Amino acid sequence: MNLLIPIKKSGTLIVVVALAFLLLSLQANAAVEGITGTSPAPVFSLTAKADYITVPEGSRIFMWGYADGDGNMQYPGPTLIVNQGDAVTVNLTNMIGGVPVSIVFNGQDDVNASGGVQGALAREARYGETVTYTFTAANPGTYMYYSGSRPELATEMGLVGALIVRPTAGGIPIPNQAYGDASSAFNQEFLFLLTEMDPNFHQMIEKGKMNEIDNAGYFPVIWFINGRAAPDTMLDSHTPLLPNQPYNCFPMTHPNERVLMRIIGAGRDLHPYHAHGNHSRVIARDGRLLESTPGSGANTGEFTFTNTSIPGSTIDAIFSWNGNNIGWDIYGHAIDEALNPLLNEIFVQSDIPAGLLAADAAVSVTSGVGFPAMASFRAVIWNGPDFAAAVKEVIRLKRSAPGSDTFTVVDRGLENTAVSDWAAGSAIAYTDHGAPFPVILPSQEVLTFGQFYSGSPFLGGLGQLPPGEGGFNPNGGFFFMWHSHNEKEITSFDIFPGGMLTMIIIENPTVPLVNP
Amino acid sequence: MRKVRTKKILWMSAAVSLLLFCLAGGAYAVDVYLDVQAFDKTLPDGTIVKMWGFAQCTDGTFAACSPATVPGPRISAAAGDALNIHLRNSLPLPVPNVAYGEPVSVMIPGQLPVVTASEPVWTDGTSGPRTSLSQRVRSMTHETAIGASDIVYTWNSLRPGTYLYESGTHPAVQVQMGLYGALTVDSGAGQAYPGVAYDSEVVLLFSEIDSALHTAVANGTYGSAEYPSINPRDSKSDYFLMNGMPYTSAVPPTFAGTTGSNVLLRMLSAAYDERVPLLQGAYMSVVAEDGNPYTYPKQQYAAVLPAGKTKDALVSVATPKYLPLYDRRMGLTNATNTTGGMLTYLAFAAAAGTNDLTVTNAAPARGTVMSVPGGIHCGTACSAAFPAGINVTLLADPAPGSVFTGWTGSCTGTGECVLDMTADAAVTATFSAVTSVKLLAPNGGEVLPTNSIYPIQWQAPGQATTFNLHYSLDNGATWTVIAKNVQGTSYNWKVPKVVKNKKEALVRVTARTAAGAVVGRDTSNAVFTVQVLKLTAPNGGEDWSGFRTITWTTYATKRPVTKVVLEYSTNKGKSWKPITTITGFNPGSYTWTVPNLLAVKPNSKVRVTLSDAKGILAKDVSDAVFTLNP
Repeated sequence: MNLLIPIKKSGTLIVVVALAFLLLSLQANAAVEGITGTSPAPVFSLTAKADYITVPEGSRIFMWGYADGDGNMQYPGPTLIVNQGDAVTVNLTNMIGGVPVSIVFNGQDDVNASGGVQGALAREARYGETVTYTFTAANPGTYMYYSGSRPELATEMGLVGALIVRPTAGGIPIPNQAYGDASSAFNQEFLFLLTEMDPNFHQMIEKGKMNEIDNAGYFPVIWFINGRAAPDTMLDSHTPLLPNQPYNCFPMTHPNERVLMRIIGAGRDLHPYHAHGNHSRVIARDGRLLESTPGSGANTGEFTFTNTSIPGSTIDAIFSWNGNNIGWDIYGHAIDEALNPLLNEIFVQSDIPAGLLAADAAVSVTSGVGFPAMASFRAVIWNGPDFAAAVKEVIRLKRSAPGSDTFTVVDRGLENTAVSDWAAGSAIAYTDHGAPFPVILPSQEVLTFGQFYSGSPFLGGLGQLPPGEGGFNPNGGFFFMWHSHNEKEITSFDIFPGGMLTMIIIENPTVPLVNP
Repeated sequence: MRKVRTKKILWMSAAVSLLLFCLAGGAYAVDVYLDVQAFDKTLPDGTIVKMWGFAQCTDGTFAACSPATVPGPRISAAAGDALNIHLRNSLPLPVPNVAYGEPVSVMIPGQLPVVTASEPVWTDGTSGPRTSLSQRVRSMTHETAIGASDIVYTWNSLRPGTYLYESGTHPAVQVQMGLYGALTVDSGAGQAYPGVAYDSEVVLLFSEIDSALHTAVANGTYGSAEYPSINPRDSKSDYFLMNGMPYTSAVPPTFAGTTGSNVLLRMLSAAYDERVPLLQGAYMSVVAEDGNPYTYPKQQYAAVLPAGKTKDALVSVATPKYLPLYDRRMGLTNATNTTGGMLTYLAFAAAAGTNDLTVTNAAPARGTVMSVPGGIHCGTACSAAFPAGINVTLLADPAPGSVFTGWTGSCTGTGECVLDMTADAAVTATFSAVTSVKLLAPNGGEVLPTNSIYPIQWQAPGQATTFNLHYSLDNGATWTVIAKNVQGTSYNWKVPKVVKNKKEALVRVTARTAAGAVVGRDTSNAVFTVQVLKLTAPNGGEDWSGFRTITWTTYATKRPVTKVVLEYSTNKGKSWKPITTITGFNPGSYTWTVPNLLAVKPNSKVRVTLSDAKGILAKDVSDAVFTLNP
């Protein structure tokens, strides 16, 4: 049962994490999971095996997959993590009867292979054979690998995986960047390896009728992110419940941090991957930074809320969430409460170069200030070093003309603050600090609750809930659904919720993300 | 079988323009004469599909025409040229259950046509402003009725780029039937767009065949109750074409360009579904889309082509190689045959010269020689020209009842034949009849985990068509059926669950003719092991003291394990002392505190025994002695 904290009208925030049962994983991985090779010459040994996976409505589906050495077959295959410049060796041994397997490394040039026999797209290993692939991971980025032997069956059956190349400078890894450029810096990174599945293919192969499969009759009915269909996407990674599906997809972040989305189209269909909560900036495709000229940084990618993944291709995008201009204080502060430096509540602060009298309709601010060019937004003016104790006035501003640093005062003396005279040098801030919640929350007896509601609308807040409600939001975070917007793809066998769906949690900045 | 000398490298086709009038400003008027014909296309698997295609004719009399092709002939022009396409419609008049034809037209998305008063054409045959709600657009532009000749479609000033020309009439049927082709317009000599120079080019036009629709058109039943109309929900493409043909290993590689030069890939899609050409082993710089150059080129190795899309990309490769380019949407099969569809190999060579590879296969019924990249499929395609200096691999694929006995000539032995083609090469492949039944695997020494899938393989003479498979766990004293009436040369055997590791297992294959007469049988040359349990540590050679973890791998047991007994011996297994007993589950590992022994014991072993209430399920002992060090 939850420990319930009633919300006081003044909005004092208490962040408490005290739950007797935890239905959701707190194992947020801020770094992509996988096998990290040993620079400068990492060696990986993969074994192609046949085994089963479990999907949420209860079916077991026969799969082919890459295992790490003697380990379990896994779907997707192990994510291989290397450094830029590494001389990579991948040994592939085939223990699947009746079909050769190989590995194609998209985006890697001059892959040499030995062993096995020559196949249409790559050297392949027949049952019991080992093929060795070598290449130099010359460029950082997000890549994939899959079997090039009967790829229309092999990728469907699960022989796919991700390859991450981390950027280096002079041989030294550059941490928390995808491409050795500031435009690719991130606080957290998550893998979104997207696939779809037609179970008929799997059943026919399981029954030994591989050569009778009608490839053109492909009809997927279940969809996956990182080998799991919702809600298993939000289960722990490496959960013993899913021994052949080790990776999860459960992004978590704080406001104003940068989340790197590594989106891989590992199946054969396009998927419009839609991230609620904010737009994301596409910074790279197919492992190449989207630059106008080399060295310019990622400056030609679109700012979009849906990234359509292309089969065989990869996308890197940066997502960031903040509550700026949401219209109310997401932390539930009253205007006279002190500013918490951890919470980034002041979006932009400047000062007024000339006095602002009670009757004035325009205010000029220090040039180059960075206030938004929006229709109108909330600002707070105060004077003196102690924000909490100072007299404050809440106003609404809009920029007088594009590029101008003069703002028209659209409204003065809001939220019960007095219209005052302000001396030159008074502070003015674009902020939502103290902005009241815009509605009166209905009382509980007229509400129904989702499991993700913490009982409080504030970031990090918990609130009173009837017994048995909620439970999936122990830190009072904001949940946004990240999913394929091809709506059928968020079902598993026509059952919603399912398929290619997960949630991102924006947690209060004081909440530690486990495994940051 | 007749050897077909194929000397086909797909060089870029020459421009079509036959009649050039010089216009003001140095531009020309290009006149093209196309006859729309119904014809039969034979696909590599022998399927015959009715198609509609453009046939290139010499002039407005349409008296001399080449055969119709799909895609239609490529049209080349320069920016600013005027283009006049003259159409004749030789499709049959529609007769129910006999023949099916329609009026046709031609449009070029992205190019600005001269608009006439006779467009659009409605489903009731009238044109001009819409007068009734029951009218639907039948043609985007004016029509060429069945039997009409020399109907002209004009574009006054072509924009540079790569464009798809296609029928503008009932496109859901007519584009599917094959009425499409490529138009390329250069902005200057060797320049696709201003600032986009290229040294050589490859046109890659992707399309699909939904043979059910083609059959309805061929039978004259399209639009009848038997095939009411094209329903995108049910439409299913079963053939995937690149430049009009699906891939087989008889299709030779496409010469793209010389190393270090700029190769322009002109990609077009007349397919209905998205196609994603993926270049494996290099990046392309995508420079334009739909004839519109990008401000900044995009470095990608795959490019999505929605229906009707064109994209231009530059590729430059530094060292000689073949690069596969294929549809990553997996349009890679020809009906149920794999390694087909939208696949080609682009050749980047040091120079433009080629050398000939000739394969001799005296017994094509006994096997096929195939090449990677394609070009050789011998029996039928036994000679091809390949660029010098890039490796071509020959593979021998014996037919059932045959075996490949070796190469002679430019290659020897029975493995792969790799030729660098720096000179002409001649290779002979010998296939022989299998004379006796032989089990190839498992043949002795293997370790097969229970419940795993193991491919049993054998070879047999040609008259043997059905096979029975048996296994024994007691060195041949008794036999159990695996499968009966199996066809082919391999069978995926689900290794049964057994009680205790069986180290005397054998497999036997019995070959019969279709009539049931026994042709022969063969058994594994030596015993193999069916393994249910393997003790992995300690397994021999270790030196253990203190806390050590005993580990074992359990495969599928006959019944669920309810008890695990761990024991150790210090006298090579003559007697055993208990370590522990675990009940209720089988953890696979156990951390043992090495007991207080009086001396070092170098002849130690561990034994793990799995059992349930009915008895022992599995047992395994360290393979060799290890040392216990108290």
